[in-house]
Amino acid sequence: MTNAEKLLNALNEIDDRYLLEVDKRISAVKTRRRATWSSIAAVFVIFIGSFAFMISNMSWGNAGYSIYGEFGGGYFYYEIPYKGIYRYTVGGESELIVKVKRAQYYEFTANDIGLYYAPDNYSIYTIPHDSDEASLFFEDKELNFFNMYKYDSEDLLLSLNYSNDKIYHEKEVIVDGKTGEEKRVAFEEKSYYKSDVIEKLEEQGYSYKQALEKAYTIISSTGERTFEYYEKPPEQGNDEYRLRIDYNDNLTYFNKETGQKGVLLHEEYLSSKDMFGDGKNVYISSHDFTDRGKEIHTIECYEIIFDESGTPTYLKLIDENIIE
Amino acid sequence: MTDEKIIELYFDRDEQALTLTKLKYESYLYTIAYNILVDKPDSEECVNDTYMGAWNSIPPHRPNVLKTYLSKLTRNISLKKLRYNTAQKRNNSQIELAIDELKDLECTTENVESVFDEKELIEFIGKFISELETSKRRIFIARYWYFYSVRDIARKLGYTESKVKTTLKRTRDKLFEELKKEGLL
Repeated sequence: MTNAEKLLNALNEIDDRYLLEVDKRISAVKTRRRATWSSIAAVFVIFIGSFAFMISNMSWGNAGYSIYGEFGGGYFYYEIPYKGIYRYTVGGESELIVKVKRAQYYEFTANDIGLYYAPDNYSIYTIPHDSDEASLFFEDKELNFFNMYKYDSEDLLLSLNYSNDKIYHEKEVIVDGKTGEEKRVAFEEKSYYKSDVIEKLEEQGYSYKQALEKAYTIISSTGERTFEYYEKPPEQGNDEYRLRIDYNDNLTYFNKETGQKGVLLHEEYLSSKDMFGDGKNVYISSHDFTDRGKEIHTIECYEIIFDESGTPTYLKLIDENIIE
Repeated sequence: MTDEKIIELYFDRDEQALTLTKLKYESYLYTIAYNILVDKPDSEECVNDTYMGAWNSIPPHRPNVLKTYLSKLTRNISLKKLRYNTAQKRNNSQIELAIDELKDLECTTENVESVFDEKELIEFIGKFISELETSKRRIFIARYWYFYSVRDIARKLGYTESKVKTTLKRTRDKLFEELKKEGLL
């Protein structure tokens, strides 16, 4: 066993409270996101919410906001916080497709059919690649909040959360990227994270065992439970090559079939930047601040150059900054 | 259903304990196993072995926190399964990336005898973790305990990916320094 493996094994013995610390943070972030979405309803709430959000970010030491990017239909879509979602074509220019209103950012993704974005906590709009017109794609006003991911070239994976203060209910569904119709449920979890139901039943005179059985029936009958498992969305890169930035400031490729790997780019501070790649092009995003504290975003566009055998050899700079 | 009541069911040898454990923690445990194994059947098997492990160990053991007790069982079982699997082939899971990130821990030509003593290492890592700032500790544990990817950590913990990457790099550097200082590396 290597030292690294021994270290990972030793970590298993750490105090429970540190694991719970991570769990609590994950729950708090979910709650905060829900609060952020809900704040869209009223300007006053937006003001307070944004202020609270800024304060909370400051206290965690965040250094500005990252740019998020997705590929679809030969385009690269990226979002600049507080501005909007842009569409970029290699060798062309960036075009503002969706302007963000009253929010820091819209959740979005893209596939071969078009762009999908969520201006609120219960609906998704879509814009086909060859159009600038948005139309409603999905809506469920019962939702608490949701996230969406590209599932494959045409379908989306929606992670839907219907939780409230009594029940935790999360569902992940695969939907048709053209019609928005649900194809199948990939995962569903529904559980009472508070023992309210059992306590109430006990108050009504049921024994603990009776209450347990009755509560269990209630849980089971509130919806059809499925235990199919979460299927991860695709990684960066393409079917053949996986791209990543390692901690030594190298942008590397890894051939999943042959195990072949190599370095495509080495640059100081590269490991602090974000990278998006589709197997043909690579986009590297970074952000900095002016002396007056204004945040400046940069996205470099590179083309991956392959040799005769089809092995990636280096990156050719196409555009120093695709953001206008 | 509170964890205390589920534990009582284990002590009563009531099989509903297993049903309720599955109902409450299956997806959580599956995520831990999948982050290590990146294989659906293997992850399912490890989660099922976790239930078996819990059934066989409670009683006599009474976990303080059922969730973390189960998650530690799953992580251990999954790591063992991974070692068995990787004797045959690599699967490029998050744990392999994590091991790659920690490669500086391996012996150099100057100190070929340097291998970790298990007991000393457990004590060291407990102290190291407890002395980290909270946000750094969360990120470190999310990466090297849960084996979440950098992107998942950023999304789940509400940080930017850049912050996660930079924090991990600095924490690893600090870890290597401390290990050297303690004479463990």
